[in-house]
Amino acid sequence: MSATLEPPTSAGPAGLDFDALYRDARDDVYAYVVTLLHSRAAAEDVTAQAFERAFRKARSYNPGKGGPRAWLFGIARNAALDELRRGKRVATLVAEPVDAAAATDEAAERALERAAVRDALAGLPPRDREVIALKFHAGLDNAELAAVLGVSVSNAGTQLHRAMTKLRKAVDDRS
Amino acid sequence: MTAPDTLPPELAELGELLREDPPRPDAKWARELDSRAAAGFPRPPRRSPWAVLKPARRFLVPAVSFACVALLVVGLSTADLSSDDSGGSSSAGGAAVSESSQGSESSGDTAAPASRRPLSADSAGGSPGSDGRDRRYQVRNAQLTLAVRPRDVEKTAAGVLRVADVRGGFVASSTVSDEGGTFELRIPTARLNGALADLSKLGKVRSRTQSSEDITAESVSARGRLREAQREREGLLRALANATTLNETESVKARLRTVNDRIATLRAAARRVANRAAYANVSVELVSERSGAAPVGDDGRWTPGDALRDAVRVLEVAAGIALIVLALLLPLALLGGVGALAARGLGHRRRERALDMA
Repeated sequence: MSATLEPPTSAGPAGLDFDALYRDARDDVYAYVVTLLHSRAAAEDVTAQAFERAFRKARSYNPGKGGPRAWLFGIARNAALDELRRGKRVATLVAEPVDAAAATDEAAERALERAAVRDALAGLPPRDREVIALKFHAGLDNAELAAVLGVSVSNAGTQLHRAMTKLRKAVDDRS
Repeated sequence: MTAPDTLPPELAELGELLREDPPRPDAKWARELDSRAAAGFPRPPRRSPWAVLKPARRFLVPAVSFACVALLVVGLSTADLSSDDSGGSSSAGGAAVSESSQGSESSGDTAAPASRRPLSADSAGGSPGSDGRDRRYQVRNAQLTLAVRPRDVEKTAAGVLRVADVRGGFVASSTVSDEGGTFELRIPTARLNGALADLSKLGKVRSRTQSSEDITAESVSARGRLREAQREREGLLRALANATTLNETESVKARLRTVNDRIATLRAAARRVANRAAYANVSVELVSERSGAAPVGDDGRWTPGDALRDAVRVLEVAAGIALIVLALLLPLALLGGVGALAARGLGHRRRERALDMA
């Protein structure tokens, strides 16, 4: 992307570089949304919608309420939940195939492990998928996680631990 | 329970696997989104409100035209009603009302308002329609109290006289002093409203009252008695022509004199009744007050005191309007705020429920 993005008004809020935020978070937002919605088409729409909303609401960004990523993922979460509420699109996510033949034994083993984790994650309830995606796909720390979910930091840590424990169990059950 | 951002090794290992392999977007979609972002997420063109009305335009134009014409007609008719002087004749300064002018009033142009509804019979002369006329005769009275500044009393008094003259009326009596004055005016009934409007401009109106009294029965009765006497006179004239003896002639002549006197008296009475309906009684009282309004036609002496009073008045009105607007907007704003909070909370709950039900 060559052009520099400007918020709707020239005088954007201090601390929000929308262009940098877009470049840094585009794939992460997509990864979070697709993990939550289980639909690539819906995730594409919701991700685009989230960035558009963020662009239009850039003036409302308040650095005192959290970092830009937490703010952006909050918007993305709302858009994703709206999509879930509408419930128009059903899950159509298909796991990517593991290219084990072209890799070394160790790499193939690792790829299989990743696939197993991905499958296990897909089987978890949406709330657990969401918190895991925010943590490991979006790269949010627990404070940002708490800001996005609207809970305390300790509560966010607890939710994450429970979700990961379920994931561990799901992976173990599949192996 | 774990400390923030730390997980046990077996769970952290899973996290590493997840970090290594996040879902990746389609390259084509990503490029398209990049383009949209670079363009500032352009909105799709909105449909013009005129486009929405397009199917109705065929009917809209005639409807709007009809509404404009209707408004114009209503406006013109309202203006016509308010300008009550336009139809009146300009018989200025006429203190006495002649029989001919009475006749012209009977045509319904300038006299008291007419009504087509029947009236109850009166004791003297029957109903107004009994002689083939169904006009109503009314005496109209008005009382006006004007406050003026002491130095303007004389000038305002002159203005009152001028209004009476211009409106075709006359002054029945007047008293003017430094403290004020009183005027009894007779104004053609058809020009009463215009005269009152003119008089009201001469000072600050402290009170203004109007009343009317129906004298239709009185008028009908007076005219009936007059016609009766005239018929009697005609009979006597015929009897005089047929009289053969001197005694008979003298007797008829004596009766004729009596009837002639009665006719004169009845004619005067009928004229008085007609005059009462044709001319409204207007009492104007001038009250000298320090804070009285400057009369129209003041010689341009607009003092700083006047300016200050005007400015204070403007501020008072502006503050009043602002207060009313605030009183209207504040509850609306509170309701809007509560509604927005409720909607936000409801939206949040719905989203969370959607997550639980997914």
